[in-house]
Amino acid sequence: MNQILSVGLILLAALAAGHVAQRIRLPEVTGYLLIGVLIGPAAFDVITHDNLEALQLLSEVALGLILFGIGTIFEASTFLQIGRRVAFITLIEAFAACTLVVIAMMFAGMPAAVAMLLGVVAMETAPATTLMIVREYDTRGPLTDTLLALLAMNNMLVLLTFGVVAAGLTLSTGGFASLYFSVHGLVWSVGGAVALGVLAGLLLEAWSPRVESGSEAMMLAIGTVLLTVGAARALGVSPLIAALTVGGVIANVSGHAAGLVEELRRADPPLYAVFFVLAGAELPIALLPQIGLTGLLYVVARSAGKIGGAWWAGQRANMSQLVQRKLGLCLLSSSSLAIGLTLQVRQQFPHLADQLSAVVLSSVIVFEIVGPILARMALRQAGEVTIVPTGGALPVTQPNA
Amino acid sequence: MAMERTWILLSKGGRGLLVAAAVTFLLLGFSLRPSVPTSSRQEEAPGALLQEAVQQQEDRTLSRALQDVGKSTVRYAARISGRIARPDVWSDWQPHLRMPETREYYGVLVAPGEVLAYGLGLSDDPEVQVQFNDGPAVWGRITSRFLSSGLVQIIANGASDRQPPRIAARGGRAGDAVVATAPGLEGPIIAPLFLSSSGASISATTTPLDDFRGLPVFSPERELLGIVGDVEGKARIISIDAAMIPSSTPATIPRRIGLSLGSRTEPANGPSGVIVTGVEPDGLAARAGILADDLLLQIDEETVVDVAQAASTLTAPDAPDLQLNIRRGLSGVTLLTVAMPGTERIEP
Repeated sequence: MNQILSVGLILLAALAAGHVAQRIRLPEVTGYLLIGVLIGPAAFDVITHDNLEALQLLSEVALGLILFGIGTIFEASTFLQIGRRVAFITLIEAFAACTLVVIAMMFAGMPAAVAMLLGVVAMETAPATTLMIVREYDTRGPLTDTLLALLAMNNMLVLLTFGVVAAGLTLSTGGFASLYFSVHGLVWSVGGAVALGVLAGLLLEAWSPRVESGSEAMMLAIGTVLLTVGAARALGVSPLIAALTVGGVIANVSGHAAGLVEELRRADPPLYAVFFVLAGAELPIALLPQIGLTGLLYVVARSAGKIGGAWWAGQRANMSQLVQRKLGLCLLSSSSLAIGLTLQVRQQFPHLADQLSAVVLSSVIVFEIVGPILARMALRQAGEVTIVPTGGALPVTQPNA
Repeated sequence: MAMERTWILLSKGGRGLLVAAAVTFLLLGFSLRPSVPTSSRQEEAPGALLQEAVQQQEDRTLSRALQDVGKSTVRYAARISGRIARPDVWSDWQPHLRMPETREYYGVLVAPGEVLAYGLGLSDDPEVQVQFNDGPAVWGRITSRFLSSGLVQIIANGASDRQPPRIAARGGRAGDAVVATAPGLEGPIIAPLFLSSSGASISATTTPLDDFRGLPVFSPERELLGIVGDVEGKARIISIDAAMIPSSTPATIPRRIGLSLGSRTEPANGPSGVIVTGVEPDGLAARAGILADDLLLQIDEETVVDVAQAASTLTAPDAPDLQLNIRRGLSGVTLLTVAMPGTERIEP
């Protein structure tokens, strides 16, 4: 199938799946993921591996825009209000998941190095899936604020921790000579991304007063984000952190941030739909039967760490009862970054990759399907859902009415 | 609480400072970034022999086959030690190059002093160490890289007197050897080697040999046990009609009855069996009355399932006379007896 045909099919399939999901009271994003599984190589193979590879560009663009959106949440005033507490909760929930997973995996007989890498992967919460739920239901309130701020910090923390653990493992096998390369890689990946994001954000801010219409603002925002993601790839720094930083800079130095984000939101639904359908199509469903006891232990340990860690840290940070009890349920989604880290492990530690991939990829299927459902449930129970999608048709305009 | 966005500076001077800091960090970080030069990485025109090997579809399987041969004890195999380029510690799951370390690869001599090896991941440093199985280590130089297959061509210094097994890519002859692969299989299949005095053609069923690649398989005693064949991209155990023996490797052929076998190409509605694809004129099979295109159904009342099983039974060194049930055309089943002499030894 040629790529244009496949994109058309993906969009229409996503539209239909979104409606069906709403009818049966599932989040739209779950519908996208499931239709992706159905039309992907794992099932009917309408979207082939070649299509997936060719459309990877769209996924990256969508992920860049998603992270830019999350970055705009980092407004200084908001951050100073909840930042410290959220940072504390992020640390606790992430490292609780990490610790429990490491213990569980070592109990299951995994080598210590694999268990540690699995622990780091378990720390991640999927930003795209979670943000999609927030947007679909237009959730507003303290739980949503905490969740969005936590998402950004969580992903940054995961990348940092992975860098540190990978450096440690490299050192243990590669000797002292590897130290420079490991440390430089870590500092460059994160610091370089922040520096790039600052530059791109300031460029966007400097240009934004000159735009004269909504469509120009949209072009400016999308162009800047793409430029940033592309430059990050070229420089070898983290495109995720770079896109986050652009959003953060814009939120804090520009008076036009809200307008830019609003324009962007009008343009990105098709990209998001393609992103999630492709994510579903890439899910290695064939691995699900192989999840086994180790995979189940991983799922249970990660879930317990996330939910328990968020609850305990929420109490300590004097968050409201609602946030304490519901936040953990919103943190279970796991997808692109987890898979990305798995690929990174395969490149960097090929001898550890097989064991790690089997656990991560099979558990991602579980978390990616169950995570959005639990997140929606938690946000709804917290009373922060303002829109109840009905799956209804477009309003019909009567001619000459 | 309105912070008036003073958290990050709004003054022009402050922004300039921020831009300067970011640019400095990027320049400094990029210039200090560990890297490996990539200018020498290129596709070079391979020699005719390599070109033939590399242009096949199952190059990666060929690479595995090369490793299998390289790990064996045959004298034309070599171990290659070279520095590798590995991904660095980056968090964007993109490969980056880092300080190379050494890794061992395997290869075989394909021309005098010239080694074909599986070298995926080798750094751009052309210098490698070549350790032949029966000789001292010498330095070698990578002269060609085939990125699609991961193969590298290496000229070993001072090893021009080392002769490879001859390669029979087309129309093999006695004394030839073949590097081959078995796509879709984890390891080499052991196939019996059939010899003929003609040696004029090598074929499996009616397929011409243009795409043939075979891997000689040796026993721990360095006996040539057989050849794994790959015809037109499909894995076959091929009964060949020409000797494929490395010139320096004496080989014992367990048994030779003078026929070649092939799998049935049509869907088998009837009994299982294999097709006799050729009969050596003066061989034991011919003397027993076996003809080409006969369908071999049973050997000593044991049902023939596939070529490997049939060939294994037919060539067992201590096999007594064999009772073969065959079907010929539309006629019924015929019982033929192949009288077995002692094991024959083929000298190179």
